Amino acid sequence: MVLRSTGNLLRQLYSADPKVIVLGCPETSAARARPASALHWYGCKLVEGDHYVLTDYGQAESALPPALCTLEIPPTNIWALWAPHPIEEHSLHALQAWWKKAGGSETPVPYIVGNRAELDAALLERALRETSRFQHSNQLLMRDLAALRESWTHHVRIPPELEELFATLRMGRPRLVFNSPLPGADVDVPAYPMEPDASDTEPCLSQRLPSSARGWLGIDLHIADPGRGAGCLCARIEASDTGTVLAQWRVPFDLLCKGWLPLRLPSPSPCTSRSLTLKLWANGGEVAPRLSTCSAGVMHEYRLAPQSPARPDERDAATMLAMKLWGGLPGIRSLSSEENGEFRPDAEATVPIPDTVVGKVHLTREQSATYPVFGYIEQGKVLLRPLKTTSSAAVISLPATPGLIEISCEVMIDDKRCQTRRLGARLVVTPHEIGPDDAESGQNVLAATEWIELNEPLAPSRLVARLPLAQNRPVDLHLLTRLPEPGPIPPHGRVVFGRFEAEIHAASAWGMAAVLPVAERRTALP
Amino acid sequence: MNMGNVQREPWLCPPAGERLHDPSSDGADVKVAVIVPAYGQPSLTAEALHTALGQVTDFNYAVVIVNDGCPHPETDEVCQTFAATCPGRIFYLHKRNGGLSAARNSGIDFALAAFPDLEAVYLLDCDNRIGPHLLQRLLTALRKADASIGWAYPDVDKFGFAEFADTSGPYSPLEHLFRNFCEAGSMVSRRMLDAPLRFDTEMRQGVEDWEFWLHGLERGFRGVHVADAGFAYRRRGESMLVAAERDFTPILRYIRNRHPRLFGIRNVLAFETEARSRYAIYHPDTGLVRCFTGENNVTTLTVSDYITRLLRARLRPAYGHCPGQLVVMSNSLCETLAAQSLLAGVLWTLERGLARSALVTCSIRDRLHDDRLLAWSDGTIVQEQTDRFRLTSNQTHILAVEASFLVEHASLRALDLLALPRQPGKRHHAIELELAVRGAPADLEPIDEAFTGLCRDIAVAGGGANPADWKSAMPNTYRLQTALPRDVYPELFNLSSAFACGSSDARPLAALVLASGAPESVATAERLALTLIEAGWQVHLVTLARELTLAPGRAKCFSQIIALPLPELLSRTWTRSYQGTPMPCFDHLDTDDAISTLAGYHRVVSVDGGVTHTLMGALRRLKVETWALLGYGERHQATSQTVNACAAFEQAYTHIVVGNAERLRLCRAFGMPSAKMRYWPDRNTDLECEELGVKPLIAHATAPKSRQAA
Repeated sequence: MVLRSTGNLLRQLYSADPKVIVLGCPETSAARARPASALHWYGCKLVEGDHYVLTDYGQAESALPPALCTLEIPPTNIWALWAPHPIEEHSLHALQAWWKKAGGSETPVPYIVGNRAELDAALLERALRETSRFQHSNQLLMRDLAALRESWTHHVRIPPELEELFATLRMGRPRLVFNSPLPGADVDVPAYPMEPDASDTEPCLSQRLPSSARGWLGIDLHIADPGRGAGCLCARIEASDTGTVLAQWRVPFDLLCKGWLPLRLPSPSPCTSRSLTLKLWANGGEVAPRLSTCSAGVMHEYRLAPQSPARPDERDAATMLAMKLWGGLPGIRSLSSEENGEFRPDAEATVPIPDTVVGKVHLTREQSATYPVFGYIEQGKVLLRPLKTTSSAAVISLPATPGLIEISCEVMIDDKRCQTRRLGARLVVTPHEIGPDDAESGQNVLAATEWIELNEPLAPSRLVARLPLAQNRPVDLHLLTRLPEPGPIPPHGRVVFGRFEAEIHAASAWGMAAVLPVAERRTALP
Repeated sequence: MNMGNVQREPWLCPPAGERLHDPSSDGADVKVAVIVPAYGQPSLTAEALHTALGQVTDFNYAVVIVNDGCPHPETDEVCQTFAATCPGRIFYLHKRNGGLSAARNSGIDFALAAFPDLEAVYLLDCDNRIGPHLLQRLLTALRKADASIGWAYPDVDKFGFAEFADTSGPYSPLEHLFRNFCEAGSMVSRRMLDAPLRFDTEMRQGVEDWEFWLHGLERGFRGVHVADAGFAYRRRGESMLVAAERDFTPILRYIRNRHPRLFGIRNVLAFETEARSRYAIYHPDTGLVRCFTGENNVTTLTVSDYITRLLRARLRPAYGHCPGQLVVMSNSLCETLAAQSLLAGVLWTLERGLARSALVTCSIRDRLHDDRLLAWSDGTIVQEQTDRFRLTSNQTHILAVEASFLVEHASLRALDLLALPRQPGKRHHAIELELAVRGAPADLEPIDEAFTGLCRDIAVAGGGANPADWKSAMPNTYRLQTALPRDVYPELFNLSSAFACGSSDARPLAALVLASGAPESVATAERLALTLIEAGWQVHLVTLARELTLAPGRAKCFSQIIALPLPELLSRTWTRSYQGTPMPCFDHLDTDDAISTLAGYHRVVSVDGGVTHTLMGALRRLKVETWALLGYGERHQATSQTVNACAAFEQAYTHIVVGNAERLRLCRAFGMPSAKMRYWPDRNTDLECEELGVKPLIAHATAPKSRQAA
């Protein structure tokens, strides 16, 4: 069989528009009526032997040019081959056979023999099928877009230059965001050969974390006993509100040692989950490790599950895992803290000095006045007004902080009515029990700042005292203030210290390198 | 049944024999329907639907999209697309625009009609998202709850401009009156829908969800918080702007007018009484702490449990769990005061002092003249510039302080009574009072050391409970507080507080107010009390005088005696003149205190006029019945002056009671309407009401309960 058409018609026949090919010439006007629609209609007529010609529907044969093109490939997107009269059925079968031979059998062309109503029913059916298909694909597309848009909430997009800037400004350092009370007891890590599922609390320790996922960098767990044998301590962080696993770690027993175990993400998490739960279990080995616990105090929602059977469900006895939580700027890799996937030994982290420590500040040179001149104010702030003749002095005793390398704080005049300029403030770090005179004169000090001058009320200045060597023992922070020159105490000269922070040296603070997860990417809860 | 503004959908009445939904089809076992009103934001709607389809549940659920006549064709396309591709899961309703409430109602009505096994609906706005376990967790919570639980609400994790609204803690009806902590993205139980509760279609300016929950509360339902549900609320610049610019005043006024019973002062007091959230009385002699608002509903805790609650109030939301006012008083003194019906009044006096001062102390004397029941002496105001102050008395037997203020300082440093700093926002550093009470224990121990010990215990227990240490667990602090009356009453009633007298429809109370403690006024009050008790009332005696003379055994007709000599104790009084008659007046704070004292009663009776007249207008506005007795106790004034003083406030009174014909005529002469007048004969008068042409006191003295029964 040969199918031919005019050259002008070729472009239309191979367009994506839906088409109907009508065999023979319709006799009735109703059948001939060519509906105005997106559907393109073509006529197909046997001209001689097995030669057929495709024309625009209704085009007279005589109007055809003498030179016609032979079609080697069937036209595109034919919705129906329609033979209005049974007499054309033979042609229809011939066309069908050619179609199959030239175009393959994957997309058979529907053929209809019968009146217009039957054709319309077939076209309608096809149209509905097409609508449904488009709706499905459209819905999939919309859901993909929804998922994509949602994923933006959980990711950060920061140019490398900006990351570098953060590193240079030392803004990307890990920061202690939660520090539990000191360890008081310990608990066995349950041995379990498999990975527990989300609802399974029996085979593992389950500890809700007092932190959300955004900016979460890692956790230090306190190992009381590292266990024995060729086993692994397994840890997993779950986000129960979003139903995902943030990360999972496997630490061989022989890597564990007594003390703090740092589990870290490569960078602070950009996820936005609000509820994190740590699950822990041991896999293999002879004796499972033991982890230190401490009192959860009045926050019994952070109790460890299951609680020790020796202490049943008593609120006062609620215990939690001893832990430190670390955070940072989401998505910002701390360049100085990581090298080839491992934390560099000179990495540093920031530890805010707790308000309870600052709140125990006391004077080291007596002051008296009929108005407040010294005292802990609130939110980690200390008032220390300068005296008439000698410098005012107070001290904060800082408990032992492993790897302490720097102490800093902010100082300012917190009364905008103050008109006095050049009020002096200074921070000195000494070992315990050093008096204010020695601290001020530089005797036996570990580090000290210069006197800085405060010239503008409410403008904070930063005092930074860098220690030459990391310290692991308790130290004293001496706060000193003075007038520009001896004389009467000026009105409103309220000098206030605040935002006390320590920097720690990672290599000195932890006995081992930080452990990175085995699977970092977010997955759905098993 | 009153359906309010609820619009019923036509499909609720299908033709006879027809069912909307074939039980054998996919929807037959649907337990939860997610109602998604769609208007605008088509791509965000797709996001909401995407999360709705991603639910992990062990029950069947359906999603009902209600296109609220959105003019954008894209909205229809998105809804149609999702519905077409999830037959049996998503159902699509397209209605004429009627607002968010109407759209939600349409979805609810459809779900009730289409899904016979429906247990709850979840309300998902078209720009929000839900975590994969939300439906399961909320429905599980509803299934576990008792029949009073009407809805389950999640925390609100706002994304975009991120913020976390921690809505955790036990549900507090009291808190819900002044703060909407239940987002619309909550699950409503079938029992509440069958009540039937629907959204108010008149509310088109937002906050309709608050009204809906309050409607549920009014019907006796409560909410339950579900942790980690995974509700995410989209917060864009535009929505923040809308929220910031929205004028809440008319909206809140509308809501309160819609629910006058719920927002009535007696109902608010009943919620507060149920919460036991006003006073914590620490008894050093027993080591126990009593928490209550009204004396009849008390929780007793050990001091360590109380300290735990106090410390937790700074760390976890649980409104009303820890009373905001701490009183230190021995149990024996407390019992003595309670036995003489004086405890509530003494606590109320301390509370009024606390409104002005960081600390209120009181020393107790047991020496009283004659038949006096109690006597206050002048209050002393301590006004110090530094953090330490001096008290004139070294015998403090009662102390009152705001608990959160105390714990803030006690957890940081060793604290004693004299080292409590001045509280920001308070007028005075301390107020010292002295009270003589008949029958007070002679061997009362000062409470100074007990107070220091309590502070020490707080410091010890608070070692691991410093909010700064748990900052990472507290994304915001707006619901972290102990409960104080100032959270509620200023906003709802423009009063600093309200005395928890305990009046309710089931137990109506009348307050007989004495402006002076004159014996004849007291005698009149006693006689009236007996009359009212006969009529089914309970009676409190409220005196604004410094002393009260009442012989032993005569106080029994009063179920509480409140002695609040405001000007003498806490500030000063002044006088105005009305047509030549001197009228004593309170200053602003004292007026507020006096009105707060009386606002909770069903009926307030001015027994001897005086300053009491000035309070009645405000009380009337608070739906209190106001009565005046004329000429029964004001022996020091001429009758014409008495009547003239009352006439100045005649409009504020529901009824004015006279005891003889002369006063009645005088009242009429001063223009008081006859319909307002009531006759309660003096002891020596035996005229009949008919003779005078006025109604008797007793016919209208019937208590609300008796009236209801009638």
